[in-house]
Amino acid sequence: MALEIQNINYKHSSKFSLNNINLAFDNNVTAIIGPNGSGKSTLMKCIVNIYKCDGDIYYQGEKLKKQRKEFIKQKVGYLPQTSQNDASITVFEAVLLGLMNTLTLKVSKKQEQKVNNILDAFELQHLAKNKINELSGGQLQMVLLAQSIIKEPEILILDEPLNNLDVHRQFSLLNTISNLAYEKKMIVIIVMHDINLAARYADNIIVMKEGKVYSHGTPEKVLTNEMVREIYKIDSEIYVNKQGKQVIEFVDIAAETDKYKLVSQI
Amino acid sequence: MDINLNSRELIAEKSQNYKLVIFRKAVALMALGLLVLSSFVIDLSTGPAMLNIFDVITSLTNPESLSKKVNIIVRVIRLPIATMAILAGAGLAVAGMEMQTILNNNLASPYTLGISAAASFGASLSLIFGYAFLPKSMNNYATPIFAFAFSLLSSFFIYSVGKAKKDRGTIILAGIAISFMFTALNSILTYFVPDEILRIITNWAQGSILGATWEQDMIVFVVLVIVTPILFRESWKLTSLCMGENTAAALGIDVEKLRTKVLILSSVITSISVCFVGTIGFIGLVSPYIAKSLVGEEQRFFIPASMLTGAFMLSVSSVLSKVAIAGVQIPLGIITSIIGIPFLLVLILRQGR
Repeated sequence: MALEIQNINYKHSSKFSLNNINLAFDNNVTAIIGPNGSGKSTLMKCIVNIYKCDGDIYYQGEKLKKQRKEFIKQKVGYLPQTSQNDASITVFEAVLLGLMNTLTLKVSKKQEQKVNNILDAFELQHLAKNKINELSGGQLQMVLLAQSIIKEPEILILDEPLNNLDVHRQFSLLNTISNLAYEKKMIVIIVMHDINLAARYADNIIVMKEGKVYSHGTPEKVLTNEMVREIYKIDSEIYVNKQGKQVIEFVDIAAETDKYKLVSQI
Repeated sequence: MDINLNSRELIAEKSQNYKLVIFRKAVALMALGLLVLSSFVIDLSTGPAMLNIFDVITSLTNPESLSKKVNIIVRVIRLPIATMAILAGAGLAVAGMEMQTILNNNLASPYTLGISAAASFGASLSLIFGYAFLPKSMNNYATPIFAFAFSLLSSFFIYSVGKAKKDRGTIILAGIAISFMFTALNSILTYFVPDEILRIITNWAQGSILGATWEQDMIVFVVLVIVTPILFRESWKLTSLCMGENTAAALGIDVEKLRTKVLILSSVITSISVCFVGTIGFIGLVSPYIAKSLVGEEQRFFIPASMLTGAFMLSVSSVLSKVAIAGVQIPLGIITSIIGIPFLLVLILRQGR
């Protein structure tokens, strides 16, 4: 496996902690799903070294120790869950920031060209001179994705990239990413909430619950009625559509949980 | 054929994208530079003796052709003061701008965070103890050192508050608390000092550049010449902070390290500026605001634009302090406050959105 994490432990507060996580990622698309507070984002932040955690990370069989910071800088693209939308820099400059490792006071022709190429690919060229604080949520998300991809990372980690996107853009973003994963043989890890999109686009799915890995494997293996009931407390029906992808239809809040709990709390 | 032509035009248009943005910013910088230059000359020409602007320019470029009196007024009396307005204005502005960047708060500035008040207290302390215990020649150095120590102390307090409490309002409230505390301490000190020192301290608290000398100009200049290139070297990293600390961290930046470094640098600039000109508020708050609306937050342009705007504002304030009421020289700090307060209100209202 290309990227392996072993014995990852992290304690921040009872809500954001990780308990002995062992996972391996291949050169394809892995989706991480799970309820709010299950540790998905925390795990991503641990992998990209924003949170300092215990445990080991191996890349292509080699254990990363002191060079981890440099490795993240060079080879990992990361799209955080939240970012500020009031920045007063242009879209062009924001995407250029993705080349942070190589930026000097003078921006080279090559760097300029790279930014223009990616703006074209993401259909953002018409916004190049606009400021970040003038963009819609969806446009900002595409700019941030462009920023995380421009350095051509070998590993791409996206934390809820579908937030703020309409259905068309959700599909188009996932199409772009899965194409990239196959063309460039990238390891793509996407944290997402939409199980159906995970089933459609991911080669592997990891389900997290309370800071632990609940299950992982191919969508066929992971997506079961039991899992949905256990993790989300929802009864569901799962069938396979014409394209051979699993589709989960949510029926109702599972019988054993108190349906009216929320209402009575209000 | 048509398609080829189109695509070639498209490529040309694209490469214009970035160049046009850069060109616009460069023009803004040049315009600011011209404004600074003109207000500098006007500053030299105004005062108890109003001089002709052409005489001022002649005195600067070709002093032999003018009377000794004009030359003394321009070159000996006014030039060090007008230069201090430019240098201190630029310093306070860039310090405020970087504080806003690292604390991610448009309301941050040496004045609103209480750093000026802390430096002011440190300076008073050195004036009192300095006069009592140190030889006179040491006083010139003790004041900046004391001012620096206290401004650094308060900067780190603000910084740790910002780290513990992430929301933007808390930092400013902590700054107000610090500001009140040091102002109160300063007032207590003034009860116990002889009149001679009281006058210096009061001058300080109101902000004045009238005592500026070439030696002081030189110190501020050297600090700016050392610190600004370091900030320029970090300009891309600092730019990424405007998209939030998560994004900056995602780009591989050690956010904490960068913040600490830049905070120390801003404190150095603040304390050096403040210790010679006293408490001059709002320059560090308003200049970045104006500079941002002119060139945006890309720091390669944001840094010089803030400095030029600050220099311009303090220079104009210096002119106003001399001409607003005939025959009276109003303390500079009062002028900048009158200009700055409406801006502060606008910023507070915008921040609330």
